[in-house]
Amino acid sequence: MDAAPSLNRMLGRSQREALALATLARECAAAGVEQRVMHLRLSALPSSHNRLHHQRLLREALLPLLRPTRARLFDLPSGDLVAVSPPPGEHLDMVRAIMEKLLGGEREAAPIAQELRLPQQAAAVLALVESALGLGAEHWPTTPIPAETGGNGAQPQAADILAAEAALTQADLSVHHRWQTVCLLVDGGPGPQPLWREQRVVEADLEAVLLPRQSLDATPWLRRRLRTRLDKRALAQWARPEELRRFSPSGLPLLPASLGEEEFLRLDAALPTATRPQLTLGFSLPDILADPDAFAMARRFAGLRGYGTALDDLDAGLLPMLPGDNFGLGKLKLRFSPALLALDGPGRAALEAALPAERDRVVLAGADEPIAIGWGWERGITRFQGRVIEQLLTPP
Amino acid sequence: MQPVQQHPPQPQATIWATRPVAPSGQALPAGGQTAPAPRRSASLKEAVRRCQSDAAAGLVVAAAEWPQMAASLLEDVANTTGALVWRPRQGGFWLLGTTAGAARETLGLFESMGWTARLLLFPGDIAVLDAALEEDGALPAIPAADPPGLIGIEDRARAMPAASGHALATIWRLEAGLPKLLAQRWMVEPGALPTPPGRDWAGHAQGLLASRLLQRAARQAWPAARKQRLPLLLDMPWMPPPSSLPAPPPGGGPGMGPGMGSEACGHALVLPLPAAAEAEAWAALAAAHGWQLAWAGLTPALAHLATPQRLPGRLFFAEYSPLVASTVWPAPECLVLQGGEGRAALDFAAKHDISLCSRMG
Repeated sequence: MDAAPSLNRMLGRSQREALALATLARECAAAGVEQRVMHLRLSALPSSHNRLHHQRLLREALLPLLRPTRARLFDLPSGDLVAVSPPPGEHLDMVRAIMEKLLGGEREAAPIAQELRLPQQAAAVLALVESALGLGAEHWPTTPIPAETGGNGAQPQAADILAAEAALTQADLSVHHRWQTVCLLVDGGPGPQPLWREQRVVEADLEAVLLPRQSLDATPWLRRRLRTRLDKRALAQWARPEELRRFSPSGLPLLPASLGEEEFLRLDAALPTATRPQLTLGFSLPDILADPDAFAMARRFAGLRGYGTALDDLDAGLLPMLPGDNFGLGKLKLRFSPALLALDGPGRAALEAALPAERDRVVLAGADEPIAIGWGWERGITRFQGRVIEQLLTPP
Repeated sequence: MQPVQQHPPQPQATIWATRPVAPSGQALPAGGQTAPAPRRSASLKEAVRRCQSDAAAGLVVAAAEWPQMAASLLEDVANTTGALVWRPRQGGFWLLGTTAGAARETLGLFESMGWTARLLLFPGDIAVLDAALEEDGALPAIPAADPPGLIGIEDRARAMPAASGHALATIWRLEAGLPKLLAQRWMVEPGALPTPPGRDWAGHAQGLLASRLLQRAARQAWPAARKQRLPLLLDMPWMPPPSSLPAPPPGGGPGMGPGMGSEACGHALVLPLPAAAEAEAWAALAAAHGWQLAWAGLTPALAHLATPQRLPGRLFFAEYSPLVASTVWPAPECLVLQGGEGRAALDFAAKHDISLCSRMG
């Protein structure tokens, strides 16, 4: 895998090796390169054997044998070893012989050492990587994969996402968190009055670290996997006792399905009933459309437990898709864009007609320039979020 | 797939019951099928004893769409009332040994979530519990099934034979009591590429198969069973609007399909609903290449979107359910129901001039 140093830092050594093996298998399949693969399933040794001891012995015996050749030895997280060599690769047969000798008899060793061929059995090699990563792989029939060279390297695959998800469970995300305050700011009134704070992950930066030189734009379903993981991390953080002790009115953008995750339910159980209305859960329109059933569940549950809710980060161009009741959500967070300034008369009228009549339910987000505040005021909007607000809140 | 979560050991038996903890202190996998049913422990025996002898109450939830959430709600009640949540091998959740008031309150909670649950008042309802205990005892522990793998799913999609993973369905409607064929839909067969549970993996797999259709369309390799005189609807993956699109197949043409009279649908791209966030760009791109738009994935909760006034499209696909039939659709003539071959679905469609999407020719 062409992982950047930053991703490498997040993964353990054997995880990296497993992914390197997956990449090798994919490349061989794509380019039609032949390789012999010897899979030493030490994880399948009977428990009477000391696996660690055998692993160490085997590695010590194999490395000198493989070093002078073009073969590579991969240490998988499961404890398995995989040797890959271009054919004929006689030394792989020696590897098997050493293994048999160490384990004292062919009968026992036979199922432990399994030989595979690339590119024909790429699917089986990928399945063993998956299983070694603890991802519960099914052993797929070894379908030959047609050689393809025209693949788009910039588009991540499920395997990349699984690796990124694994990295996300441990990674320190604090550098990617941003806080913004939603404020009441009235024309001619006092300065901004903080209403609640929102935590958000700068997804683009994080994606660049996790999946360098790749873009999730063309695979939005895969992007949602990473966002699920980010939601879980954020929720776990919020449920910590020290965070709960200093809880203040807050907003959190979430995927609707995240409300069914254990992390949310733990936070839910830890938040006092009186505190829940001070937490505003934000759902975006594309997320609602992508999983309407999860959204129906999330909205009901949020209502039942008394959380605040918001339609998050709505592009003004999507206002015509809003039902009159704002999907049953309390607030509407409209994203400001300079295109709004260019609207003609009918466009402005249509937009204003689509906004909830109670303007205190509307927040204009992305107020990064003072002109956004002016535009909002003209429409009776008095709640804002963005760089202008942050600057006003920070004394010079 | 769900990763195995680490939990601190929980002191309450109630937590043990829904989230079995191995002797090592490590939590066993969560989730409906994967978690082995806990053995009948001292705490379950005690809860059953209370149900048999005291005026205890309980609640049985046969199946929940969101099992973790259902379990969490039940655990809440169990924790505050000294009750227990039992997860039998046959599935579902039982709240046992709580008070009648708490059980009724929980029932209300479940009903407001749209879930069904049954109130149990002991000892009167003890036979129900006994039967479940017996059923649980008779079932062998089901070993956790390995979910299908994900690594290499893209390769597997590419390696699928050309004719698998998709189908050519027929869009039709009853006119004067006779079925009239309106269009054909070259569609992804749901579940053709198995994935572990989860909306996003299923979406990704569907996207991979739809991409194959798009590639075949780019080669103008249309399905053999295509009827020249009918418009073709082509399933699309959820992706940003590309720089170019294949030309539509020959034949068909506007005015042939279902929809709004002279505004009837011609060849169209069937977009997944979340692509609506870029609806305008899609509409412009499709028009420039001779396609119209249709939308898949409408639900009763999003019925307001199923009209050309809201979304640039002529047809809106929804999966049939009884709830669909009790929903007011803004433009029923633009609605196409999938998966509704039953009498109720046919009657509903005929009454409102709604079309159907059937997998048979």
